[in-house]
Amino acid sequence: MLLQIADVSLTLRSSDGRCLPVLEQVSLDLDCGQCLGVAGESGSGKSVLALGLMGLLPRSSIAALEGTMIFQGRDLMRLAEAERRSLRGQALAMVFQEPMSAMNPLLTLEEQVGETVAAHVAGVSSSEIRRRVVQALKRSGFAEPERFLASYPHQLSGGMRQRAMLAMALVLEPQLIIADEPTTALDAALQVQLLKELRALVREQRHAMMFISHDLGVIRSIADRLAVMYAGVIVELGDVATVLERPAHPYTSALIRSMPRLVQERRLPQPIPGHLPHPDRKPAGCVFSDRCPRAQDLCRRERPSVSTLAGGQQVRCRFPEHD
Amino acid sequence: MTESNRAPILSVSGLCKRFPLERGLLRSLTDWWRGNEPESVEALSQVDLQVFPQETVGILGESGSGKSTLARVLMGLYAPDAGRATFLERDLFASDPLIRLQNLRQMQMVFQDPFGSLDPRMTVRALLEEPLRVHRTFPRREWADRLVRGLAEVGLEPEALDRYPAEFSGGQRQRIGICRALILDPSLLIADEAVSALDVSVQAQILELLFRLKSVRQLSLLFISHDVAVVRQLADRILVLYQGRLVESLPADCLLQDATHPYTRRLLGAALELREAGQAVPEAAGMAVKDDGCPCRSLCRAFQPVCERRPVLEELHPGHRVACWRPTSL
Repeated sequence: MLLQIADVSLTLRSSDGRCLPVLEQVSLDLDCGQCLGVAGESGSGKSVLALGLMGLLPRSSIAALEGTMIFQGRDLMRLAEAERRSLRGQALAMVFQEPMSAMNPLLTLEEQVGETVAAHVAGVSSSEIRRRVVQALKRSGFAEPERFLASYPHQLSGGMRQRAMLAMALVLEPQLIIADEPTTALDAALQVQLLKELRALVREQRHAMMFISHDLGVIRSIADRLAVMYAGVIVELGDVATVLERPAHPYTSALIRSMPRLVQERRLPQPIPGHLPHPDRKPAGCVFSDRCPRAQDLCRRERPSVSTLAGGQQVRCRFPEHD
Repeated sequence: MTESNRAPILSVSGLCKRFPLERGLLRSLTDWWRGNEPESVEALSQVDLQVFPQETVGILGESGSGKSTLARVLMGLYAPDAGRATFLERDLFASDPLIRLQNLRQMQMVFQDPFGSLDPRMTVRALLEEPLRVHRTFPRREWADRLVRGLAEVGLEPEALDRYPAEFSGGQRQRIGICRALILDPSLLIADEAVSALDVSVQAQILELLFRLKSVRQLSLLFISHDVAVVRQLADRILVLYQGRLVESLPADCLLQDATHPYTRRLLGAALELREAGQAVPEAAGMAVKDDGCPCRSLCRAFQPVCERRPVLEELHPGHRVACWRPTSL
């Protein structure tokens, strides 16, 4: 197994000194050639999970940490900064959501993508950097990368910028790619195309990918497995088709009902009543109990543990649907 | 529900908007010296549209299709290059600033970006009072009451008044944006990608709010979006924009079965793939510099020599118009 996250609980300290439990007993694993989708609303903890994996959470903000994130035999959460730095870019890389803010407007495409190579490969020549940059851009879907090497981010279209972000992550061929909403800003046709390419890349080049999105439709078209997060907890985890067609957790089915659908009868998507709880005001029992239509007294008192259903999906609910 | 027997509240015809292409100083000067017309991009070309009372018209298109330009031209943020528009029996593009102000009181907009559209240095009270101050339609003593009622309508507490936009979540800010757009009791609301910056579950909440208010206040709605699924679920009629041109106009109920134009079908294909795991779609084409042919030549399988001329919107069935020379051969 390439990545094994076991029982990770993370508490962050906010700027005003409060302790915020942002992840609770998160367990996941991911192997090469696989794509794991992580779905959840903003504030569900999915981006914190990604930043934690990348080692991008400032040490000073971590108030408490339990559990392990074992990647290639090493615990990512407890690495020294120098070790982390050697892993980032080479072994694991991240594709960010907003290319306009994640790219440096003063660097050309070649400098932008080549920076990673120069920083991680000692004594690399500039012609070698260019060769690798061109190759990475090709693999990210640039038809003629040479034409755009000297372009600045603002001269590229939205789709190209997103591909450039992907190239920046791919240039050193990392085993694990973490993509945080990489296609949200794109038009549907472009999104479909980029998702297909990403999927092919994961399958053929045996990368492992963690694909974070709030859009279940996007996740369905790229991921093999799906983890649904709510308030820092993975509430459901399983095969993508199983989870989306036979959701076991009430939150998963509420999320599916809130999606606008194309082929069904015309009606408004159904909102989930209530709001996602703030990390320091989570319910004492199940995190979803204050919004759950089927919550009982027991749900409000105790956090449910993980149970595995017949279909193979894991769910954190005492009264799962489709029992 | 196309109400053909009632008069439209907004009627636009032949709307054109061009933007000059960015050129070097030398090139621009040579053009000027030689008397050449500066090169430009046609963001909107001969757009006709009508909105009937209490109707929801969905404008569908990808980025670069001209849908935001359309909203901005209607709101008076860009001056049109050609075309006429009548709104509530007044000229929408009147040069008289008083008439324009009157028009704007009846036509308000909900913006896409809940972060960029609210001034971070203004309290919610100041944000909501600004339209009242500009338009002076309601006496000062009614303001406080209007603000509180307006906030309640969008599901916010009166305490929100003295807080700043940064203290609210994206969904709450969009509620403030909707409240601000409705504070003058307009007749027509333009929503430009009003929910696309939000999470799916918040999106559903805001859509529900928007449509509840629409029916309570009997508003007409121009709902602009790139999301086929959202537009199909919400609109009564759908207009499809491609490279600044209307290529199809049809009732939302018929979208899935009857969409005829190759571009509409391509949008549907991509949306099906994303929402329901459907079939493949070809690569998108770029923005056209002035061009007299059918804008979809490059992606159409039924290409004919006649497509080198530009097709106009023609009625296929009652209520369904399409800009295509060979709609039946597709």
